[in-house]
Amino acid sequence: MKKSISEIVYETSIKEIEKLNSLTVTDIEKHPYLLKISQLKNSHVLALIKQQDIEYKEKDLSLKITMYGLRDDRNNVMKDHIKLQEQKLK
Amino acid sequence: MSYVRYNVWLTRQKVWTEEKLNWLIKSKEVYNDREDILNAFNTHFNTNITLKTLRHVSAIHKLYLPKAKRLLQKSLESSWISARGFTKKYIGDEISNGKATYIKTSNESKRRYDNYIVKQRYLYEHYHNVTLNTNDFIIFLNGDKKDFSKENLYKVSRCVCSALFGSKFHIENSFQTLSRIKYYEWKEKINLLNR
Repeated sequence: MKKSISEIVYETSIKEIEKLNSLTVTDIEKHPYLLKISQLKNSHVLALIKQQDIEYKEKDLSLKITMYGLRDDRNNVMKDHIKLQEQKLK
Repeated sequence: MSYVRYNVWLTRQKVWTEEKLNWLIKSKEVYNDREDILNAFNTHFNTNITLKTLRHVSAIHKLYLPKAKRLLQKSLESSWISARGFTKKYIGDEISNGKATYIKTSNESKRRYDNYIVKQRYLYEHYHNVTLNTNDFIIFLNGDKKDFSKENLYKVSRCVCSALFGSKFHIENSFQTLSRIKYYEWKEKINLLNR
């Protein structure tokens, strides 16, 4: 089963926090790349979060477009109705 | 044909007729409170006037109607008396300013707001048996600020809190907020180790 983005973010961040907690100052001095790897992973996860946000905004935009389309149709119907009434009065 | 402008004032109907004014003058002998006069007037003439208009009429026609004593007393109790500390709050009582609710915990300090704690903070300390620092913040995972259940309250640091609400990403549910919080905690950890 495919995991959602928020689940991936949650699991990876917990794992990384545990890893960083186990590290000591001497370990970091000996292997400075350990921190850099974690930083790279962090930036990758941030990209995932941004992707999730963009998906939400796209969905929101499409909904807004359909709403404005419906409103436009309704306005056109109203205009036709008013024209018909005017013709009846004449 | 010359155009003659229609004058509204020539055919206007008087709202406050002499009959109504005489009724109001006689009502002073019957009723002692202006609110009672208003209710009786509305039922007698089948109108829907307010106290404001009645005040206006009594001032213009110099009717000298009695004051609305009950309403005045009520407003005094709500504003004047409470402002001067006559309505005393006891330990355990809640107050709210619209944004957050506070609980009274002591009477020791002279400064009023030192005796109060934010409700979610107070409850979190009691749920988990911990004392919170000034650096700690309590967040509602659900987003509902009236849901004080144990699962909904979560402790974060000041840095994480500012990052979470400063990013302005859309959050849909409580699990998503939890994942974002964990992400920012991880980031904070990296920044601390980098120093």
